[in-house]
Amino acid sequence: MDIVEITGLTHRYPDGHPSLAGIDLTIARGSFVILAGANGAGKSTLLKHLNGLLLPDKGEVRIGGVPVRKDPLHARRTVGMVFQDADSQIVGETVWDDAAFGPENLNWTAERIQDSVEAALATVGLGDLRDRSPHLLSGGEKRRLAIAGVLAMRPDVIVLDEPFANLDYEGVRQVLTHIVTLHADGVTIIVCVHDLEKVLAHAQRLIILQQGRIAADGAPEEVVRKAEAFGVRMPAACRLGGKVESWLR
Amino acid sequence: MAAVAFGYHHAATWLHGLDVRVKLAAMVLLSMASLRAGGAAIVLAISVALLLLRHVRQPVARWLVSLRWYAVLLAGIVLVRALTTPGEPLFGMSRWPLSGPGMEEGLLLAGRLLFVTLFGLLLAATTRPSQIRSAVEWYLRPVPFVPHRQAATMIGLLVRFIPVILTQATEQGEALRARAIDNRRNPLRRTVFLCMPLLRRTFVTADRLALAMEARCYGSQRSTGHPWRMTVRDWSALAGAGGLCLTMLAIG
Ligand SMILES: Nc1ncnc2c1ncn2[C@@H]1O[C@H](COP(=O)(O)OP(=O)(O)OP(=O)(O)O)[C@@H](O)[C@H]1O
Ligand SMILES: [Mg+2]
Repeated sequence: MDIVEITGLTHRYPDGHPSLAGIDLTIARGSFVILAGANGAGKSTLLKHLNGLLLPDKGEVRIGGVPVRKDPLHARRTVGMVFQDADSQIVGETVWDDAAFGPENLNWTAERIQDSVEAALATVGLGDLRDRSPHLLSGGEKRRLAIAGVLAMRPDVIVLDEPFANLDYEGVRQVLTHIVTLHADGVTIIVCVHDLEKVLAHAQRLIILQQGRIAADGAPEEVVRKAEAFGVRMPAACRLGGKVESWLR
Repeated sequence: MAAVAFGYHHAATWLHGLDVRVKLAAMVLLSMASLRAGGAAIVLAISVALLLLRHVRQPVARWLVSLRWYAVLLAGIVLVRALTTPGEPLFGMSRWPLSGPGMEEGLLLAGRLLFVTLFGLLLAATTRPSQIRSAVEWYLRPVPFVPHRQAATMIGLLVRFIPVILTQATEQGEALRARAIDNRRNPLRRTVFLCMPLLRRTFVTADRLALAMEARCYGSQRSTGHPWRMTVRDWSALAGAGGLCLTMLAIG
């Protein structure tokens, strides 16, 4: 069963800049997909179509069978999004408030919010920082808070835009651990990166975007061989004919 | 991050646990009373504020350092009043006659401002902005034609944005100084270089924030905040604040 179905998606920004041109794509429920591409390839733009933050000029995006244009709220409940810039998605005054923002918007009861937020903060290891101001967190902690804010809404799909930007080795490992655990729990994961090294070992599918089009799509081991032609660096291990090792080892 | 010195500091004190509506009401009542209060009443009120500050274990020393420019402003007010108000000069004959009544008036005015500031800081330090927001929402609810939910969220976002903008201004200033902006003589050009990028950045940040809020399903149908419950402690605090107001008015 495909949870994401995109047909003939074309998009242009209001200033006339073309960003996506004829994207056809389906993503199976429970899969772990990497979306790669050079700067400006259209990765973030494509992700914003998955929860109706942007609407297609042409074509259609359906989430769980429901067109996003018809029911954006359904899409937003199903697809949780962690943005490229962790700072600008902080809404709450404390860590706990921030994680509770989404559930409050969904009009859940106080107990349900409490349970869900506690669980989400515990999952990303921020339970002890619940009363801190989010602005004073480190970069890695902010990213984890952003993930918790999405987790608390219990989405079926989690979309992460450049989740490893600005993180140190330990930070990358922590965020990666959470992503892998979520995938094991049945959440569909879509990760958008321009450096394949960190996630390739865990993915089941690799899609490369170039200038708003899908340039390559398939099993990671195969697609990665063509990566350099589309402006994405091939991990050193692959160049030497081997396999990329997991960063969690 | 100078802006953070005055924010909410979590601690388990009596004032932290007080119903926010009571705190807001006390703040408004006392501010109004201080407008009519005389010297003795202001001294009393400032002492109460300082006692409360000690009680909630705030970093008072750090506050005082951060408030030094405010103190300069208050001193300026006293001085201007003393110089411009006609009346008996304080010190025999001098080129700058500091008038007695002017001095008194200036001190009174500065005292009122100081009291209101201290009380505002006290409120901010012991209350989460989200609680202030819910309290404002509660007070706005009976007012017709005001979308209280949206109004409260706007206040909350404004409070959230102030430290962000201040931090960005500091960063921007540092980046400009690293590229030798100080060599520019024209202060107007310098200000433009600082303000234009800052404004643009603020708008971009606001835009991103709006998008992130939308992605998390922000709308008018939100879970209501925590349930309101007035305890004996809250009522007695309210009575205490009212009593202080009356005392201030009585002793003049
Ligand atoms: N708000 C906007 N208005 C106009 N053009 C835009 C806007 N946002 C992005 N673009 C353009 O659309 C194209 C795709 O941008 P997008 O942000 O999707 O790229 P990306 O693949 O996420 O790149 P990066 O790796 O740098 O994040 C780029 O050429 C960009 O210049
Ligand atoms: Mg991007």
